[in-house]
Amino acid sequence: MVRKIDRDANRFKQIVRGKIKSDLRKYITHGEMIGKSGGEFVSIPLPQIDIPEFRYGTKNRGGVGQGPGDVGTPIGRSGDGEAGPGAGEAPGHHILEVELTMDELAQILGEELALPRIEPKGRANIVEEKDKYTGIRQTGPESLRHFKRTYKKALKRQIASNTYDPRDPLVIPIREDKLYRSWNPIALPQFNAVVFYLMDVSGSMTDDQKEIVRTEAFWIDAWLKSQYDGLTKRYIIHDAVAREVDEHTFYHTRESGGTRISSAYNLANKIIDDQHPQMDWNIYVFHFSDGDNWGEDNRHCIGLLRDQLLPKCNLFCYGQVESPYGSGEFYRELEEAFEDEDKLALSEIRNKEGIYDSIKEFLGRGR
Amino acid sequence: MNLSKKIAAALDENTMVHLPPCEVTVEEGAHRLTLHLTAIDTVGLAFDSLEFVATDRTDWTPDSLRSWGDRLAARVTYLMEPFRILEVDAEGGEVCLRSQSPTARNQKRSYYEIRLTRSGTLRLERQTFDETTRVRDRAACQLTREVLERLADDLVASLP
Repeated sequence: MVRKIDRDANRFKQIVRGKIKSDLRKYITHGEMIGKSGGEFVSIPLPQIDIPEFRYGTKNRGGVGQGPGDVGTPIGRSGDGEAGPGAGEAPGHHILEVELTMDELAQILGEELALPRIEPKGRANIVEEKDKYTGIRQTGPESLRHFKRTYKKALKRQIASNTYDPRDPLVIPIREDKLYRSWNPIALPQFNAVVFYLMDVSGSMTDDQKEIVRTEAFWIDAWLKSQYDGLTKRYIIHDAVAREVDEHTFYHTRESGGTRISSAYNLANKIIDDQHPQMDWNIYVFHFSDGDNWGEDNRHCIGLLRDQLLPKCNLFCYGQVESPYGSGEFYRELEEAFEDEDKLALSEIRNKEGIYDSIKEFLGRGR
Repeated sequence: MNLSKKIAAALDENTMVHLPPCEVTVEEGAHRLTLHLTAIDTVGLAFDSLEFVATDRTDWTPDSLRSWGDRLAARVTYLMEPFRILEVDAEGGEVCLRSQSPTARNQKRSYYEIRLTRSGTLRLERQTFDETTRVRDRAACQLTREVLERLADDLVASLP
């Protein structure tokens, strides 16, 4: 039977979910929750929801004070005493922060953006061993004691030995009665995925543009994590030269070099060949740049994409983030070169408002 | 005669001779200036691109190109949009300077761009990004003759 408090809690969760869904565009655009995410959970501020609280009746107000008191002192009655200083002028701040798991967040994202579930390609031939509680044994730590089975066994023994009294149904397990949960390692074939985040950090990419990339990558991450058990992330930054970095460096590096996008494509391709064979991995590449590529490099990039990266990837996404100088030519070059390519998703992100549609463009293909 | 006098003379000599679009080149010592004119009259002119070459040096290091860029940004401050070095491609031997802030007008953003290459070439252009068509295109640089003369002198003076 469902308790009332569980019903209320579920109802409250539904209200929270509805609120997050309706304001999802705002959350995506502002990127405020990224700083609040830690491990499995993300904390979301919801200022518009009233927290449930107890409301007291009017009876029996007042109460008894603390301390020894003097004999004969009358207990004060409600309504007596002087008025306080009055109400404040400023509105009260009533911000509720709810915690959601990344999975819940991804689910909300998927529902709101109508994202299709990803169909992994290839064989699920990455085998991961997971421990599962499937057996019972007579020894083990007390924390794993199986109470129901232990009780049953003790009851059986007491009935068999005629020590059980139905009028005084006391069942005391002895050492031989105690049963414990035990686990067995189970081999689970998994679809694993690797995501490459490539970012142009040349002098023309400003901090605002990097913030857009960071926000978008957070949501892409959330979605892909919900779709794959094992998600590996690789970060590559480039100006005229590309290098692999950790996540923090990825978002906080600013270089002043020129722009050669092919350097990043070459490096990603090399890492794929060396460490993530396409037979075993679902490969995603997300590249962000302002599109100001130098010299003849555009043609080189198109060749690399056509011959190397696209055949290996589930999806290659290119997001062109607009700079104060407008948008570069790289987007248009890709558009012309790969008109009917399903594996390539292109998106022009003019500002933070564009992140929402860009995510939809990238992840809406179900690849 | 210095470069600014030469370009002034070349344009003054016979304005009508230059029927744009056309190319005007003047050379003074180790410096050559080429304008791809699109319009000209007695007050000012418009050009698609300006190319300046220091012919006495052929292989510029990234550091010397950067130094040239810094000196240019410090000297050429009268084009309404100050310059800043945006990118230095050490490997490719190229430096890119742009206006610090593009000028926005009628749904368009325009800015100057200077590229310095390791062969000692400077190329000045003006780019316009159209917000409605989302296309970036080259636009004409419009300068008075006096500003062009000053620019010619500063290009020479900024050489490290």
